[in-house]
Amino acid sequence: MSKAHYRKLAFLTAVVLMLCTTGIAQALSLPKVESHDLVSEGSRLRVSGPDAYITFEPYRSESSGRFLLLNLHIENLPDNLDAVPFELFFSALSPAPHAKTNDLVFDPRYRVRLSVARPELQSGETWFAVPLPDDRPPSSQLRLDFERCADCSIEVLSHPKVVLSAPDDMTIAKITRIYNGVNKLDKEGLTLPLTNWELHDMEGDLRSLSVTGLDPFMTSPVIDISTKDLAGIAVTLSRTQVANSDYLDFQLFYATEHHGFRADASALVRVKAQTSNQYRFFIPLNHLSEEQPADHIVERIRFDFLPEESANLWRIKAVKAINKAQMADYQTLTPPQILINKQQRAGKRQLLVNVMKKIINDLAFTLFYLLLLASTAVLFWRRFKI
Amino acid sequence: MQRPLNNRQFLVLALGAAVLLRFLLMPFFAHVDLFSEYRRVYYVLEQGLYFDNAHRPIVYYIEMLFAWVSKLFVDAPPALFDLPDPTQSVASLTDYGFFLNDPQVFRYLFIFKLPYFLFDLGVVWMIWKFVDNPTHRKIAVLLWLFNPVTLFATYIFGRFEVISLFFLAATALQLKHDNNLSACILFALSLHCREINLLFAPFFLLALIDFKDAWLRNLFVVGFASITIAVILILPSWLWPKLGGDLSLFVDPRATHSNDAFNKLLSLGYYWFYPVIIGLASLAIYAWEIGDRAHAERFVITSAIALFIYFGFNVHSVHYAAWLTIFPILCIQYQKRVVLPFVVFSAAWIILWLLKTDGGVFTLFLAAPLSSDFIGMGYFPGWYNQHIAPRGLDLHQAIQIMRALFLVIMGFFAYRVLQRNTEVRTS
Repeated sequence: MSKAHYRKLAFLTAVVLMLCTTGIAQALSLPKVESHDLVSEGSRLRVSGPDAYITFEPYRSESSGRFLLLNLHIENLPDNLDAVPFELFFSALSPAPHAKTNDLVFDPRYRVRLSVARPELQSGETWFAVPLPDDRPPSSQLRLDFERCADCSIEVLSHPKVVLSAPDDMTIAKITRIYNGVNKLDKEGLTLPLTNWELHDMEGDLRSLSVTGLDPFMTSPVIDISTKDLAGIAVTLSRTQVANSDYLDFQLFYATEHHGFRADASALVRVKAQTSNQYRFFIPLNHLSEEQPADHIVERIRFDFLPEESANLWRIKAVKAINKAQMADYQTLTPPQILINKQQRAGKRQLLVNVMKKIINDLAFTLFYLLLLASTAVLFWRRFKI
Repeated sequence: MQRPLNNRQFLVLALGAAVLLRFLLMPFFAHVDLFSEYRRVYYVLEQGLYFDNAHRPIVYYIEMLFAWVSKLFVDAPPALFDLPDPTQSVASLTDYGFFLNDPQVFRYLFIFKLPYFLFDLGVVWMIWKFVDNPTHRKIAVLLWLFNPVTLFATYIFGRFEVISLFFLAATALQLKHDNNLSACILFALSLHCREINLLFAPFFLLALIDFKDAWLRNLFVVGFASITIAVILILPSWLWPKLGGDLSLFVDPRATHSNDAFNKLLSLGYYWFYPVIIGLASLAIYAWEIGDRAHAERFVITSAIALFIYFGFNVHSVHYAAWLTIFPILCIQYQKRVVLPFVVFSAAWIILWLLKTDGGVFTLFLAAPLSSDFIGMGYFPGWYNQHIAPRGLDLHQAIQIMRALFLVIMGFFAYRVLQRNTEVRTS
């Protein structure tokens, strides 16, 4: 073979090698994601259900990477959406031994709520970085949920990657909330701080509150309490002026990982106005973990004062999350007039247990009632046998 | 060889089972109406306003007496029955929620229903005395004690219909014994229990006529009875203000319809009003035509038919069906074969209300005293819409069909009551 032939052969080999290398690189860079409530349309994913998300195993450049790099292109976003919300779950749970599906389950206690400006997802450079919490649990799998994106068409342009630091010119997603575990209650419960509460139609601080409007309430900072051992919330407060109504109503709202503050997730208590103006009561929340659908985290609580016709003055002395182990001590502080609005329902067995507990709770009546049934049966039977 | 039960053994066995059944239901079920009723009663006891012309004074005073006695056993927290505005005395779900969650809720329900229980047994006694034939008597008592309609109305829904029915049964018994004055008084008292009883007034007066007597004497009897009933009917409205009573304690001034009994009767919803008028007028003629029969028989038969006409064309609440029970049962005394229509009526009533219920009247909402988790459960129309309606018969059509069938069953009842007297057989 002549030199020219060798050159041609070398050139062709180089071209083939180049093509192969490029192909492999391209093949390697193809994102590998699993999807839920999304249908594949070529390289795109179209939202097809209410719970659209992708799960993936990111490339890791650093074992303790602090940023997740995502390259997404999203079309058909709602017109009024300037910042696109996402939720990133970063702790996959081991599948249960008898799980019916192979879908990964992600722990709702470990997630990041974030948003990205709309233009970043639709034109030009579509990479953005999501800061990840330090000291997060190890997990090879991540899940990205698409919020408020009912008609979206999504293209994952590159495989997600975890890196130690984000490039300087890269957009950093705005983090609206980080969940990195929960506060577990020890056997003594947890006294909530009385600082950083948000006030509505009230002014001052919790040790000296004055009502300024018709809808006074105070909202706690993020508390992220695990419901696993949560028995309820105990509140101690006093009124620094004489009550002008016979009864006082208070309402406790609780926001969980599933919902914000809403009327059907609240407890209303009515207490008699005391001449001492000292109030201490306990509001049970044990149903959150014991009934279905369970809530795992109480993120915040809100305490409403009803009705407040006049400018009243209040002093919050303590707000405490009570452990189930303390239930017996606090049960007596539950006001007789309490109305618990809840989204949970007890299962058949739990419902039966709850019913029996409620009946036995009035022990004197239960004994009387059983005696009445037994004596009635005996009386009629004896009369029948004569 | 086993001997059949004698009358005493039968009564003891039936009563024993019935009493136990009632005790098992009493503390655990209720509709919000029962709580509203006793909120008014406790308000009166608390305020000492005993001479208010409440909606149904007889029922009201009976309930008040029991509530007053119950205070010896129950320490009702004032907040629970607090009624800031008596003109808005129907309890909200929030107020009812407080009541349901009260640790003593089972005591309250048991005590609230005690007067109903006693009057219920009183009706048994009336039936026992009214029906002469031992076999017929047993059938009548069994129908009363174990029919699902009065059990539901009294012990599950928690309404006072049995008090009204007791006075009607007592009226019939007095007529049977020719104690016309006692019958007049008892009938007038029944009018203070339920406005519907006004429907029977013409037939009661017609039943007092004795066609063997001179017309002048009959005129006197009917006139005297009318005056007696009218006086007893209007007595509270006349007397209570003189005793310092406030006539409008629980009357909502913003309510559009009147509190007057006659207006209430007319303001009830009718599917079709004119057949009711035609039917009742024809019934009056029939009452005249059977003038040779005994007073009590005429009263019982015509009152039963009046109700069949009324319920055939009327929109009614679930527990009002209890009104339909007493007169057909008393008709057994006159060899009327009412067992089969009674069974069919009970079944139709259950199906109709399973379909027609809202969230509270025929659902597990009534078990909410046991656990508030029952609220929202057992709503049959939801199940129907999910499983049956997609196959072609929508809920509205199903309700209309059941209403039509209910009318047919009223006709069946009427046919059996109007039939010539025959021997009663269990169907």
